[in-house]
Amino acid sequence: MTHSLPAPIGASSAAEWLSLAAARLAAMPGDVADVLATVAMHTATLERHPDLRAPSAAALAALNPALSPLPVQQLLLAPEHQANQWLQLSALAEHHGEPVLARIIVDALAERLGEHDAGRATSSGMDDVERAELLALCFTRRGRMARVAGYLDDAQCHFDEALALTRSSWRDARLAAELGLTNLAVARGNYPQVAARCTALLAHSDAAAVLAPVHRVALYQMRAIASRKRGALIDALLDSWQAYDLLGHASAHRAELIVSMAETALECGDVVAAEAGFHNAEHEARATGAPLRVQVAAAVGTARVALVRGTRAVVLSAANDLDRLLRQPLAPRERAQALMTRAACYQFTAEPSLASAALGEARELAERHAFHDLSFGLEALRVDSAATVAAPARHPALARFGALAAMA
Amino acid sequence: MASPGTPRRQPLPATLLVWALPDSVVALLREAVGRDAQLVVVRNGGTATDYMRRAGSLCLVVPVLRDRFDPFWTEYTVVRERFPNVPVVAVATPGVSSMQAVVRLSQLGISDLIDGNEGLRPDEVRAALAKVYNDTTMQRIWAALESTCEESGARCPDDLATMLRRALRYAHEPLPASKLAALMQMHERTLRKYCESRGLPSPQIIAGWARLLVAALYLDDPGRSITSISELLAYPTPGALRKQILRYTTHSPRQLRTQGAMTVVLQELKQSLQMPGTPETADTATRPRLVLLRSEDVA
Repeated sequence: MTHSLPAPIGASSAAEWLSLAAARLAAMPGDVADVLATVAMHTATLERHPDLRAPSAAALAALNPALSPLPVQQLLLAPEHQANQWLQLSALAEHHGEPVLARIIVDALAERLGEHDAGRATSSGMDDVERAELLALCFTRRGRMARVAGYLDDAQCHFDEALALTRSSWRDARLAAELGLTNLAVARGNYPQVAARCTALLAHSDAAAVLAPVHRVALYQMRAIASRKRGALIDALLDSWQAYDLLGHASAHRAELIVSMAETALECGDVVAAEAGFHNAEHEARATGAPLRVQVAAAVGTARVALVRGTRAVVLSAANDLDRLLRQPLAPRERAQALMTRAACYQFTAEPSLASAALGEARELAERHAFHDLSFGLEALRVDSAATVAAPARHPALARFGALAAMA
Repeated sequence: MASPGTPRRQPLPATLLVWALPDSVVALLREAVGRDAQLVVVRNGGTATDYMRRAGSLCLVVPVLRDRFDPFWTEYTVVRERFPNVPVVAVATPGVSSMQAVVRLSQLGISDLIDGNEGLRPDEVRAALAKVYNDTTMQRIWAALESTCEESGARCPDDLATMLRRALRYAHEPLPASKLAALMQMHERTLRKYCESRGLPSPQIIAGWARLLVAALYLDDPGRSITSISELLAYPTPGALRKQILRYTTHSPRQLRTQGAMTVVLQELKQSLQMPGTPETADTATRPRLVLLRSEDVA
């Protein structure tokens, strides 16, 4: 059982969220604050209406510039479907780091789909299959938010609920639930399950019809993580390349993928390729406004490379970057990872008490949220911080990444 | 009992203080509340303050003014500092409002925000005001529960307090465990396990107590029948409300009325939840009753 009560900011309505978050909004860049306030205002309208209705056309037009960079969340559900439009607004709030508002939107939507009172949905003219699909989509969103917030048991409940609702059909919700459960297995550190789920989904004939390139990218990427964690570094790189070739250049996921490949390169002992990869990813993440988790992963990687190289000035610079990110509202997992690396930097600069404090905070986060892989990592860090990895012979996949990373 | 499909006429705050809103919005507010609330138009902070000192159950309705140098802002800030607990409904109107102004207004606290950019509708305005009424009712019930606990040296655990407060805000309508879980931003199964692990009653029981507290508040109002209360709280029948009262308190509605419904329910709740502290014998006769504020009290 890993769930604790929501943080004090946790509001249960859009207006309450607005009041609680107003001070933060006032300190944000004006355009982001405007977007979030607009989303909250329209959510308050949704909450007042007993039936499901689309956000106003004027609201969507005003939010369109903010919505357009978001990746398409549902492929089969029509973009103009009123439920899809609310799900988009929820994704927008999540993208701007406001999961509580995102959750409020999803909850208001689910209520109007008859989550608590099935009779309520019958007046909306939806059939049971459509209603189940939309409700399942709401559950997958809740699952994702719970996973990112580190409430893994809660996330499992939401994904299970979504699967139960969509067991018979392969549409957006079923796929989102399957991908969500795979992501959850990554978060729990259950890598054999990750590999098995990814392989099964990629080979599943029913799933194939709804698997878009972006989904395949996610599956290859997760399988690459599982392979890397299990020491199959070349398999990891090959899967990463499968993902990379599907992704192309114009994607917000590219920086994340490059980080993943750079991590594999570092595990392989190719510090030069890893350093260039992390550097590229960091640069691209900032340029494209990639999520904080990507920025953290890149900064953690840069710091690890600096530690391997052992240059004090570079370690200090990487540590400063980590400090900057640690001041941001990071999700628990990213925070724990950043703290672990920060502790290693403190150890390098011979500040054992600060290292111990950072490790303590990371351990507390890992235990509270049951991040088993991080717990093992922390234990390993405690027992032996000087572990080295023997470099294998350079595989062509690694050579290809070295060339890519060096290009920028 | 209300027939299916008939919207329930939820109670509204007794007085609406309407400040700096255009005449068209004031007219719409009048239409929305009808005879169910008194509508007072105020022109400045001084008049608003006078009313707020005197009136009991009221709600302030203000515009979202884009012009940050408008004198309204200075006066409104002073009024908010003096009366931070008075509920505020903000109305955004075309050509006058901006999102920065929404954020500025929210920093001083708002209960609801109405988007009038595409035309206001009386039912929407009424829904916002009913929500405000629910929120203030919740605050008063909560204050009474805290005071009951304090008197006996008990303390409501923080996690239970959070659940009860959220449940109270939505206690005017059926409140299944799944809804309470959504209000806690958890899955129902997680919330159930959470309650078990902390020795708390199940979410369904907590939601039931929240509805009963609101029912008790109405029961203390001699003008309301059990039928009207069951309609107001969307119970399927008056019998369903009676049964719930009996099951939770072992008293009939008539007995509750005689002894002070809110006082008895608060005591029963405290005992059933086994809040830490020394329980005392309920001396209901000496306790002040929580009196429901009606529109007529001020009108």
